[in-house]
Parts: sequence; structure tokens; C-alpha cells
Amino acid sequence: MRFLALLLTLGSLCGISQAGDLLAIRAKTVYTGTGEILHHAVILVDSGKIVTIGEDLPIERGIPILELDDNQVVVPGFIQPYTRLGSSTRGRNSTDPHVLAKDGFYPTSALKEYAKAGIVLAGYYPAGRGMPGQASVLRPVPADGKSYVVKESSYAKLLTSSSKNEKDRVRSIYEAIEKHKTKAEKHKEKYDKAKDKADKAAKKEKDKDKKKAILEKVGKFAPLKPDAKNQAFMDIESGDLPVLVSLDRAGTFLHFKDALDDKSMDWSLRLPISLESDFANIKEEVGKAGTRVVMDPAISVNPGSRKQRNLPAEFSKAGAKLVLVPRSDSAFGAKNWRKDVVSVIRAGLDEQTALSAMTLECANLLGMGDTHGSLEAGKVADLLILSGKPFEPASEIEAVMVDGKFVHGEAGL
Amino acid sequence: MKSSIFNTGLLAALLLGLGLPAFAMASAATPGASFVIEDEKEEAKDEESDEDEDKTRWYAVVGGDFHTGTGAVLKNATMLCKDGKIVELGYDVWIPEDAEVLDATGFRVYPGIVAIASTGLFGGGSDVTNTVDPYSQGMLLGLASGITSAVQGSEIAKLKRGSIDDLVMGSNFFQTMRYRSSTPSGKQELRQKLDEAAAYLRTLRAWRADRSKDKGKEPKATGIDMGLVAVLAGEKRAIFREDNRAGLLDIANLCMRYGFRPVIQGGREAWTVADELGRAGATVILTPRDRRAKDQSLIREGGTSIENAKILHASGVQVAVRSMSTGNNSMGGIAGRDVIHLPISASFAMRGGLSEQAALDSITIVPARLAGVDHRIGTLEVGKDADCVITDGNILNYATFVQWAIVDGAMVYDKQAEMYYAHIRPRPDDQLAPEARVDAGEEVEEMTGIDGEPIVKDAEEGEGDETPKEEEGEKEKSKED
Repeated sequence: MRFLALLLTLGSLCGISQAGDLLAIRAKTVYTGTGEILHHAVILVDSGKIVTIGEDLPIERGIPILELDDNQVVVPGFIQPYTRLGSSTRGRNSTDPHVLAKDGFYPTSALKEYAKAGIVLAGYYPAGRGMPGQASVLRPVPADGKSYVVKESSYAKLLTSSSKNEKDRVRSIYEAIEKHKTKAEKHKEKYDKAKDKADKAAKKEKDKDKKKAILEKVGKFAPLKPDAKNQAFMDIESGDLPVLVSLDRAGTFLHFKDALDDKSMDWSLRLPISLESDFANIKEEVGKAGTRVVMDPAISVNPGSRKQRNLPAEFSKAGAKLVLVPRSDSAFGAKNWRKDVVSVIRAGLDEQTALSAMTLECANLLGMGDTHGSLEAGKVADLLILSGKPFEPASEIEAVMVDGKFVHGEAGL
Repeated sequence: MKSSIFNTGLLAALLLGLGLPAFAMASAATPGASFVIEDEKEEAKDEESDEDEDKTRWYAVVGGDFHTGTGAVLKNATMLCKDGKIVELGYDVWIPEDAEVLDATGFRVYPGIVAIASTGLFGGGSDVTNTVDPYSQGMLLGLASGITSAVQGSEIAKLKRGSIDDLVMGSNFFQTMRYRSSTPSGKQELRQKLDEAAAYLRTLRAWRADRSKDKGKEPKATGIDMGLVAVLAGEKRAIFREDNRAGLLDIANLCMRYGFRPVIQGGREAWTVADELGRAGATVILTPRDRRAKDQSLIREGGTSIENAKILHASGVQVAVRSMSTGNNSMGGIAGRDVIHLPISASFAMRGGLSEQAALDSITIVPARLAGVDHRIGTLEVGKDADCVITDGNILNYATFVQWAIVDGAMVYDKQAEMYYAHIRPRPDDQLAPEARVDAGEEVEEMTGIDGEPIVKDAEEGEGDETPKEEEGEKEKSKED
């Protein structure tokens, strides 16, 4: 870093005017997160964003260059889209999709550990069972002067199971919308009637001022505004608010679809992998639909037979979009995340798919795929510098860059 | 029946045949002529979409000895199912081309077993519709033991792996009654309530039969036990838990007095009062493996008898068999005690002398009758649900394995596809079908091509890669000619 400062001072001495944040990173190997590996790559970062990225790009004189060692590898910053960031998961059992998780966020010292594990963005989900609210996107450690909250609303969480109550909860979303619609219609009718009456009265009235007063009393039509909850329900129906549906077992998927019937909802699935998960039963259907699935990087066994299964790889091969989250939602879990992913890669998961499952697909789940999640021109400069290939067990995270600024490991470079 | 099915099938085939050329014509039509074709085009489209949405589901079990449960055994017969119902069962059955065919040659086909009491087969709680886990181990093991329908709590539902649709067939078909000497007041109360219910039923029926205009309002049912009314009206079955001879006699007398047929669960000493129970029209749900010594203070006969089922059946009592434990639907259960060994429970009754037919009935049609769903399941008959199990031997033999289970005309269990029993005497495919799998399409060719040429030739010709191109050209020419 010292030589950088030297370069910077040199630059200013020479009188070359450059934007303060401009930085070029030259690395032998860059995993972009889109399935590509760049060799002898240059990443040009300006004001927290990637301006250009490519192989053997010439760097303009005067731009500070961060020259990485040959063994060092650059990957997109990891995104943990389903986390409580160390806070309690306990909460009420409710149907409140309008609640924002960020309102319950309180930063703790554990957040630094998340950042050290390479997590640059976190989907902070609301605590509680049922439909407790919407996840907010947070920076575990934001760059200087920036807020923790990056995005207030990303997806609504729905924890469902095979029971009448849970199925009714799903149905209640659409029933509430219908109720609001009929209410809004009645509101409109009421206005129309009053308007008709006023119009007739105004016709009879000859005095201009009085006429105006009568019409003004009715005023313009203002449609009935849904309350926050109903608005959230409507956003779910329209697809503006995607839903992450957490299933306890494969059979629940059938019940969820049965409850949903033909109603519309933009859903992804959270399939927690336990020792004897039976999710393989819905693999074909979920894969065929190209649904996004959030799984743990774990090898499970087939219920009853003890035959080993690599469900993340199986779902990915079947066509599902894979998101992998740490097996334990803790600083410790975050630290072991990459190692757990290595175990499913060894059992057959494609390496690039695995990287994407920790970066770009996570960003897509949070609705931030066009700005985050991969190293592409125009995206936010969230990246990690590793001491080796991302899925070599010996590789360590040496530096973490968020919004173009190093938040961890800067001194070591 | 047979001809009508043939007709519908033929009609479907005709429609298919007509639909396709019409569509081809429509697509080939020049834009100028399109106004003439427009209607046809739409029709063709309609037909296509109809096909996708409500496509008729054909399923055929070909070959195999069908133990229909009605007393008949149809050897090497064919069963054709349409949309989950049996539409044909017999010989020379015409099979539609798009039918899924299961070759059961050399195997036996039985009606699916109905468990009159179970827990855990549906992998969920009491509300089967909303809590069933169609991928649960319980359901798989249930099907592996031949159970395709089971009573759980107050519901009777089907075991359909991978589906949660239309499982529950009926509920609340039993009215529990207590009529025991241990509570004399309870006995008196029940009789009084039955009297009231009978009186109410009489007035209600009279009111309904009355066609005059001034017949007044419907008689009030305040204070009347409607469950008892349902029993007296024959809409529900009354179920008693009773094992003792004296109690059983009391129940038989009570039922004869009020004119309804009791269901008795337990019935350890029922064999001692079989005649009375037969006269009362009772059905006994018993556990043939149950063993209990008689009360030593009594001189009369008593306790359990392995001949219980046989004696009851001979006296005209319908016998249903339930397992000693309704749960234990895991691999750790004790054979003949848990619900997944129901056929063994029934075969214990056979050991006591019950006929094989009655033993089969005791786990199929009799429980179906008790649950009020005998019009849908319990035997293999035309018009009933296509629920059957295909076994490699007598289903009442412990050595027998269920090879396939079919529910609502779709395969829900295949021994070789599941881990549990696949390794035990695996089904060798070559041993299975001496005449090879009968393809729905091939059978017609076999009928037409009586010129003595083996059918195999057709199959070889189908593989275009192996035949030289010149020959192909010749063939095409000859076709044009």
C-alpha cells in the first residue's frame, strides 16, 4: 500500500488531475462470477464502481495500480442472502409481509467476522415464523461514511409447512386482496353517487359561486389506498415483491402449490438440507421450472436408504438456479462457508456454478443482480482478493473491497 | 360394456386421426385461401389444447392372474383403466395406443388392501388433505405391503405417492357407542337416546312422506342425538369396542331391538356367540393374532381362539382384520403385529380355518364396506377405482412381495425402484415376460399379419439406421405404388 501512496503523491505532483477514487487492480487470475475466468486481467475501479474489466488492458499513466501477486485471485464479494447476522431468529408467528427487517437490525461486533469471511452483502431476513416480513439488504461492514442499509426491501419470507393453517395463510393473501378490491369498488360507487348528486344539484343552481362550492365539496376522485399490509399483498400478487418460501420437506411443496392454486406469486424456494432431506422428490419439477433454490452446501443421505446425495448438485443439474448459504447462520458458519461448498464441489457440483451460487445468484435473489454479484463493467466494486483459487482449501481471504474501498486486509497488500 | 368401451376408444382414435390432418391442412394453407380454412384451423387448435389439458389417461395391466375379490380368478387377463377407473377386465381387451402398459405376466393382481385402522401411513396429522406427506417413508412402506387405502382417525384416504389430490374418500363413517355392563346407567341412557332418536326418525319420515300442504314445519331435533339418528337411518355404522361374551350378547340384542347392524371392534370371545352376532348382522373387526386366556372363574367357553374368524364367518358375520398395532409403520416393526404386515394378520385367521377368499375379503372389501367406500374400492370390478397390487405370489403368504402398486390408474410403487426390498429376490426382466412386453400397437399388427411372418421383422425395419439407404428408397417407391 505504501507504493500506492507514493504513486498517488507522484500523480498529484505531476499535476495529473484524476478522480480521487480511481484505482486499477492488475491480477493474474480473476473469477468474474458469471462463469468466466480472466487471465492477466485489469479491473479499473472509480468511485466505488467497476469502470472496465478485461484481459491485458492498458492502464493510463497516472492511475494508481494495485499489482497483485501471481498466486492471488480476485473473485466477486460473497453475498449471504439469508442471514440474521448474528441476531436472534426468534419472533412471532404472524402474517406481516409489510414489516421491514432492517427496522429490527442492531449492529454487533460479530459483523466484522462476517466481513472477514468475505461477505460484502447480506440479505437480513425478519425473525419469526409464518410471513414475518421483508428481508433488507445490509452491508456487514459498510465502506466509510456509508449506511448499513443498501436496500430496504428485497424478498418477503414465508415459512410454510404441511398444515391447514399454513395453507390458509397463503390463501389469505389473495382473499385480502379480493376484500380490498370490493371495498375499493364500493368506495368508487359511493363517490360516483355523490358526484352524480352534486352534478345534478349544481345544474339546478344558478349562482356560480354556489355551484363551484357544491362541486368542490365532492372534489376529485381519490382511489381507496390499501394499507401497508394489503399493499404488500398486492405487491406479492403482481410479482413486485418476490417471496422466499421455506419448506420443511418435499411434501410441503405440493401443499404450497395446492394453496397457491392458480394465483400468481414470484417465489424462490429455501430448501434446508438436513441429514435425511427428501427434497430429491421434487427435483425434476423444480428444476424444469428453473426455480431459484436456496440450499446449504451439505451432503445428505436418501431417507431410509442412507445412500449419499448431493442435492445442491442434483438440483443445479436438473435446471434450478442454485444459491448456497452457510450451513450455520453465524460468524463461524460464515467462516466455514467456502469449505462446505468445497465438499459439495468434490461430490460433483460444478465449480463455476458454486461460485455463482455464492455471488451472482444471491444478488439475483435479493433483486440486485444488475448492480452486484459479479465483476462486470458498471457494477459495484465488491470484490475479494484470495491467496489462491477460490475453492482450494488452503486459500485465504486476504482483502475485502466494498464499494471500491477496502474494509478488511488493506494493510496486507 | 365391452363394446361401448371399444366404441369410445375407436371414437377417440378417429378424432385423433381427423384432428391431425385438419391441422396439417390448415398450416399448409396459402394466405389467400385462409378464410375458408379458418374454422378448421380453430377446430384443430381447440382439439390440440383439449388434448393437452384433459388428455385421457389410459393404463393397462396385461397378463397376470386377476384375483378380483369377487370370487373370480381371471388367469392371464387384461385390465384397462381410463382416468383412474377400471373400464375393462377380461380377455381380448382392446388397448388404446397411448395407453401405459404394465406387463404382469406371471404375477398375481389383487385389489389394493384397505387398512381399517392405521397411524402414520400418511406421514402427517389427522387432517389428511392438508397434512399428508406423499413422500413419507410410512406411505412407501404401506404401499410396499399392499395397502392402497387406509383409515386414519375419522377419515379414509388413498396412499398416492407424489400426489396430494383427491386422497380422502370419506370421513366420519363410524358412530362410537358404549354399551357395557360396567356402566349400567350408560346402558340405560343409550337405550333412552335410541328411543328418542327412533321416535324422531319416525316423525321425520312421516313428515317427509306427507304430501299435504298444511303439514307444518319440519319436526324439531332439539335434544336428539343426530349421530344415533344417522345410525338408525343406516347412514353411519355404530361401532362398539367389546371383547366379552356377555357384552357382545348385550350389543347383539340391542341392535336387533333397534334394527341396526353393529360393528364390533375387538370381539375376542365373539366366537362363543357367533350365531347371535350373525343374526344381528354384525361385522367384527378382529385381530387374529390376539391371545388372551379366558377368565378362570368361569365355566363357560371364553378367551381368544384362533378359529374366531372362521367361526364368525360361518355364522354369517362379516370379518375385517386389523393389525394388532396400527402404527409401527417402519422397518422395525414385528411381523404380523404392525400395520405393514396386514396380510399376515389375515393369514393367521386362515390358519384358524378361515377360507382364503374370506381372509382376502377381511382386508379389502369388508373394511371398504365399513368405511362406506365399497362402491369405489375393495374389489377389482369394472367401474371401480383402478387400485390394485401386483404380487409375485399369494398375497396372504409371508414370502410374497408386492411388485407394483397402482392407485387411481397410476403406478405409485415399484419394488425395484425403491430401496427397501429391491435387493431381495430382484425382479429379473428377462424372466418376466416370455412373450416380451405386449406393446399396445403391436397387438393389432399381430392380429392382421397372419401370413406367418414373425412380428420381430417389423421391429427390425423400424430401426432405420441399420437398413441400407438403397433399400429404404425402394421401400418408399413401393409405398408410392
